[in-house]
Amino acid sequence: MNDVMRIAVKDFQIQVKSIKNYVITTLFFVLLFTVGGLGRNTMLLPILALFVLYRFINYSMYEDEKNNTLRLLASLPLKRDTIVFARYLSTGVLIVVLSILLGSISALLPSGEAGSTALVLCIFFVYVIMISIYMPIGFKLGYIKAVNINRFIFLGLFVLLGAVPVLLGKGEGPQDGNALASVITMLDNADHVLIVAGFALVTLLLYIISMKISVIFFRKRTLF
Amino acid sequence: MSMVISINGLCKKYEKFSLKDVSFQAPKGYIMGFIGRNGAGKSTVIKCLMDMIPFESGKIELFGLDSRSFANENKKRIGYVGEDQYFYESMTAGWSLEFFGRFFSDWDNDYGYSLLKRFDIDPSKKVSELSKGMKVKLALAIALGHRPELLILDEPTSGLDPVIRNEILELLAETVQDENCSVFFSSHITTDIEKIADYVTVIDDGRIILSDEKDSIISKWKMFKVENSCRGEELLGRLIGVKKGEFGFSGITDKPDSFIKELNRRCPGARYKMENITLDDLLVRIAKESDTI
Repeated sequence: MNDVMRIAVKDFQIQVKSIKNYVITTLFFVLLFTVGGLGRNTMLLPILALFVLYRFINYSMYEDEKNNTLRLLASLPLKRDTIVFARYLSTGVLIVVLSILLGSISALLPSGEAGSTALVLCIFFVYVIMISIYMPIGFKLGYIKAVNINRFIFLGLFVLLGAVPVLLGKGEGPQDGNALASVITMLDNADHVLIVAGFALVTLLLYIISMKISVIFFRKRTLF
Repeated sequence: MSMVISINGLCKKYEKFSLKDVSFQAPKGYIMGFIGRNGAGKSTVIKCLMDMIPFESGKIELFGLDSRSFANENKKRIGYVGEDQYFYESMTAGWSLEFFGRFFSDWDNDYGYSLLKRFDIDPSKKVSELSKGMKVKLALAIALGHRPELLILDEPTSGLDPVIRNEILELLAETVQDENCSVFFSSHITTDIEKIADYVTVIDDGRIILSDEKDSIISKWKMFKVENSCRGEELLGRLIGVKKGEFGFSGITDKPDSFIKELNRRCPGARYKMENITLDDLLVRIAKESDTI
């Protein structure tokens, strides 16, 4: 196993105990949404997946920060770039696994129960945007500062994402004003292979740019 | 004699502290103690050695190779133990040994586990359940598991009780003897250095004060206690870390014959005592001297 793989696997190994917490929290939310009459909400599963992803990255960064293990890693025959690559690899694997899981569920359930393929792609894209913003900040400033800064960034993003459909709805959108729904419908009706390829290319590009920025930041970061 | 560490004119600046023209060499196959009080610059020098922090000027060579250009190549041949031990607390000692150890291409897993056994560490125990002394031993097992040519230890015994400290020093001396590797060992606990070091380098306020064989330092440097009637600027100027008391004054020098000659010339029949010094005396007097400058 090479060094990148070893560190990436470590990110999962140190979180084995947290899987129990993820399952409990997920079940809690499923129960909460079901009791609240939102069981058929298409956004439930993506939100839970987003929660798992966010917790995973946070926990990996937190463990390194809390235990100061980045210092020990820096004393080993390792390039700092390797540590960055490994974090992107482990997170990337988790994004793909979660997206496949969501895609499988959406394919198995009747239409509208868990969201369409297009919705899964949109969510996959949102995950990548989120990680691509979060990770460079984390590698530059460390976990504690990154969490606080990202909180504001994501809040802003959500407000922006929420505002876009409303603003679009005021223009030439459908009568109910839900432009996002029309975008999703449009994507659903388009050539799936083309869309998947397009999304994959854009997200991969975004991810690689983010990784390059993280490498630059982490090389310059003072660990001691 | 070939050198494993060679530092020339090392300068590193912080806002409130700097390393000033640090130069010394550590010979291959010996234990060099690196002593200085807290904040003297020991850890900063070691971090520069390990390419953990950048430095402004100077040259550091490890095994004859530049420390920055060949950082990874050098690190493969080094075992490093820092002052604080950083592990994933929720993982076991065995997992930590393998995870960190396998980054070294020459890692010997069986040997690593045999070291854990020798250090009396249960591999299935979580790191969070280990005492500070045990964590140091775990770090030593990781550092030694790839049979390094050079062991760099940054105050590993700091904050440990004397029993554990002694145990670690014995383990270290034995291992070094068996494995034939060189050791660079920093500490402000001079008795630890006195027990195991062959060479000693003293640093104070970012400057190297002296670097020599331990026995040579101890035999060369002497403590003088002289009655006050002989006190004069010329004599005081020949001593380092002078303490003045009600009945006399004391200080150390590495030129005892010259001091005695001068004392007899200026103060014939003077009553004085010349004593051997310990590294502790040396460090205390050097620290006192730099505080008065």
